[in-house]
Amino acid sequence: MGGNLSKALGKLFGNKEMRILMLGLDAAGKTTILYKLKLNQSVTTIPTVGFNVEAVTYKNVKFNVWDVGGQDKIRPLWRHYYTGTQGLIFVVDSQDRDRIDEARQELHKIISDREMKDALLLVFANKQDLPGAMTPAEVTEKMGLARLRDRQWYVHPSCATTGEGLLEGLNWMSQNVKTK
Amino acid sequence: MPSLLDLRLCQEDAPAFRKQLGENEESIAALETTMKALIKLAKAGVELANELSAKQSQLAAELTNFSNQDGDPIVVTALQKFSKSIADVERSRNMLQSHIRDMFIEPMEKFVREEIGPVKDMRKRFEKASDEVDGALNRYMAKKTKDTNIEEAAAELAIARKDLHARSLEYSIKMNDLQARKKFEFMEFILAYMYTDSAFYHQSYEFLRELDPYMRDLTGLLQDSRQRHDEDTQDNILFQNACANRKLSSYNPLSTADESTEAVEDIANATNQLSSPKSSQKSGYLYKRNSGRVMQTWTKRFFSVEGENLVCAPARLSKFSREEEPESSINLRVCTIKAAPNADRRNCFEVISPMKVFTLQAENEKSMMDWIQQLKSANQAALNFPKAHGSEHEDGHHTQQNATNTASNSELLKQVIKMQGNECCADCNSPDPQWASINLGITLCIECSGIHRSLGVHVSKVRSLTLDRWEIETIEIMLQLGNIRANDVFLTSSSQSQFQPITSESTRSEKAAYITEKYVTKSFVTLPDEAESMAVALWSAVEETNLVEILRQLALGANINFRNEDEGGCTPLHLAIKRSDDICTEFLLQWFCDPNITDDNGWTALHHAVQLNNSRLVLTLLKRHAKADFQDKDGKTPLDIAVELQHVQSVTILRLFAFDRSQNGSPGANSDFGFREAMSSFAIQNATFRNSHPASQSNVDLRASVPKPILLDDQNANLLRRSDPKDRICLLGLLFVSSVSFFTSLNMERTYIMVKPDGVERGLVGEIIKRFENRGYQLLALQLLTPTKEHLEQHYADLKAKPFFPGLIQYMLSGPVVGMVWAGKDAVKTGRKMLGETNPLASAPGTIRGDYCIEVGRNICHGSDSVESAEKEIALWFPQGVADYQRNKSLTQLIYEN
Repeated sequence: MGGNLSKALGKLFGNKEMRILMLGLDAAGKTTILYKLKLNQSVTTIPTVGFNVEAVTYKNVKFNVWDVGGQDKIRPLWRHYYTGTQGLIFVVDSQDRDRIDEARQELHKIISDREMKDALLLVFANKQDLPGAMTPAEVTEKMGLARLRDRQWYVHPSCATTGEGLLEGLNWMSQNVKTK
Repeated sequence: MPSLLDLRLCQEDAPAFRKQLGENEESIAALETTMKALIKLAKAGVELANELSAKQSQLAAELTNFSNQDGDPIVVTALQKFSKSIADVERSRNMLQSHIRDMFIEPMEKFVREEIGPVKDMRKRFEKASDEVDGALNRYMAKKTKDTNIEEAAAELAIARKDLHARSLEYSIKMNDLQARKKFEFMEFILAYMYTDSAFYHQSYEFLRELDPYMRDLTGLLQDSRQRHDEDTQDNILFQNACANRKLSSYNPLSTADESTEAVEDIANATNQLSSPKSSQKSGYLYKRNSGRVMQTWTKRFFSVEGENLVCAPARLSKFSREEEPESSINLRVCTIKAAPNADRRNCFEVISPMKVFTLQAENEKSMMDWIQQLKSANQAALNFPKAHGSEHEDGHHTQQNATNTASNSELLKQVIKMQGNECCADCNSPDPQWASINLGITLCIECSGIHRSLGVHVSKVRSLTLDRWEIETIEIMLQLGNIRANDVFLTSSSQSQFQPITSESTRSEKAAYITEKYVTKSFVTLPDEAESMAVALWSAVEETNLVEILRQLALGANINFRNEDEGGCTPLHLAIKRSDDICTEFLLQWFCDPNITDDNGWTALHHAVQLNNSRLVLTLLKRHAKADFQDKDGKTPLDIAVELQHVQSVTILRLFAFDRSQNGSPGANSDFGFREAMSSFAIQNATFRNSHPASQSNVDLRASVPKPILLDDQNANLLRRSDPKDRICLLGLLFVSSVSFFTSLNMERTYIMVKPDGVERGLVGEIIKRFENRGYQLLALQLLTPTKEHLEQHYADLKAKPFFPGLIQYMLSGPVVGMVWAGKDAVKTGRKMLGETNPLASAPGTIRGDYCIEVGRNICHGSDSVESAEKEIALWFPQGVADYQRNKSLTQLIYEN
């Protein structure tokens, strides 16, 4: 009962709820981003075997963020989380040039899935604080984002440990989400 | 038995004869009675047998019926066998009955009807004749001597006597006949009956005898069952007694002690019962929260962990529940499990799946913790179980790839784990590390791996030993380094003592501080006395493929990109490539050496790799963003060198690579054209004959101009996506061949068209472009420039000897020119036709020159004269390359048939 009432009230006052799926190669910084957003503190994470899910509220929008581990062999599990996803946060380790092609392939595989056709795409060019990090423009190019059609996407530089750029990303998400 | 009638006595008709006749008559009558009785009995017997047969068949059917219900295989087979035998017997019984009818009853009836029946008529006729003789005789005898009628009477008597004699004979013969036939025909019927009977019993016996060994076995089995049952009964009594003696507290959910479970286990152990299912899997009743519309309800459900699934079953089969709730199961691989202390009930925990959150309530805290623990371990086990991923994939090719990679490399990975020193985390010594840093060559526990990841990939590249796919080179690096040797590099200094080494007990922050100190600040590495030696040491380490030494020099701060002036300006990477040293190359690249540094000849590492035609190295370099279009001092790219040397594999890889780049750069292209698979199969393929002779024995001349395949129809792409990776490389190859042949067979060409200075000046550029556009050709490049003399001389190199050459160059230098590249079917030849003859006067109206100019020396435009020179000219005028894009498919279809 409570849930339904608050949902109704939320609609009245413009509260939104959004299901966000956060993916990316292993060690891109997904879990660090999640807990920076949730707890506003930088935690040293351990590799996620499985997933984490947390609700983060920002500017009246409740983001249910699903953070799924990115190791090679558990990537096939990602598709189980697609249904109902309104926004995809794809996290890129901007320093890891060696694996940017791999990241591009994974991203395109995800967004070519039918279940993800309406999802907003936010790419965090993460780890901007590290030496030799690719710029957002470079990430945009290497991730082949320019050729995406029928897709709202946005690349934002971020640094999960300091939290720089994260809220801007969420802000973009909240402003572009279509209310159901 | 009466004697045979003497036919000679018929005439006399003596009392003896009559007596004999009488005896015979009696005997026949008795035969008739017997036969009739037999027929009646036989018929009744048949009827009864039919009834029996019907019942037996029903019995057999019933057995079959039961065997279908009972699941026990022994019971099922036994019953089915028995039922079959009974049915067989009944079938043969039916056969017997019909035999009896055909061979016994019917012939006997016929005999009675046709043989015995007529005897009575004969007897009547005989009696009648006899009476008549008597009458005639009486009349004759009574006549007086003088009676005139005496003659008449005599004659009458004679007739009567003759008739009687005939009748008597006939009758007697029939009697004798019957008496004789009674001996064989009748007995034949009886014999037939007996034979039929005997055949039936024999057959039935055979049927049942076949069953005999089985029945004996079954007897044994049944005895075993009985014995087991007896033992079980004993156990049950014991168990029952034990349960009865249990303390009440063990049933109390709030009882804190472990008694409850222990007690159950004790009892279970005591009786050897229930122990196996209990220990292997977690199961039990939990309350599940249902989020109803208005009110939350909690329902009792039976949960069990089965492999990677959590199965939820309705509490118990209830007679009252109107609709049966089906069992549901949750795949734990995509779930996370945590305690839910904030739930509105006690002892709750959550199983969070992508679709739904299940809130479950356990009876007490201990049980809840146990459930969480069990579910977590099932989840981790499922994630770490590599086989399970096979079923996960819909697009099987990827999986296969993974599987094969893993299969071939998993043995090597096991060696990595088994290496001395690798059995504990390199930093904190925790046992059984599941993670690794591939550039440091060490194994790590999950916690330290988390810290390593936070340092950035320039310090440490972390991979999972179980959850990641491993390349062979990476494994080999791991095998060459390992915890002991790596720590030998990073822990040399005495300053180590300032920092306490960490253990598995250390806090996260202690670990982070120590690991940062160790790998980033490198505080524990003793600095060398002379910095000069590092480069030399690094060089010789690469020469010896000594990874430990390379790591040491890098840790000391050696410049990985230094150019060794004594060695033609080569970097360590050049050296590793020249030595065809896969592992060193990979290792140097992992440490971020720049692949695009040139040696004194202007050659990058890729130039060298191509020259060696080592496709593995070419691939490795390309993956690390080595520039494929880097020109050496002579302006040659690696591809040029590969083509020149006819190194088929290198050419293919470089072209595939360029193809992939162009695909990924163009809109609408699907990201995965199997390029990755193709490349990796190249690597695998190459790895297999890496140590044999160089792979480029092919005589195929690749210098022939191969246009880039820009048209990839959907069919091919689909084919690529569906096929398995092994075929994929072939397919890609085929695609190349087919695209080449597509270009050649349909003459899909590129041509260089240039508007000469007079054309530009006269404003005819637009007109010329318009004509090519209208025709349907595709514009790939367009530029206006003022060429240098040298440039033009190169362009017209083949005309150098001609007398008009200086004039031509003079004319071409008179102003800017507009160069363009057009592509399409037969572009070179048709382009020339559209331009018209070189001499405008000879050009037909409708051609460009025929419409717009007069003089050979002012013929406004140029077009390539052959495919070869077109490609040459394109390369000359557009050294930066030309656009490689696809026009809209629907447009293409409007211009081309296919």
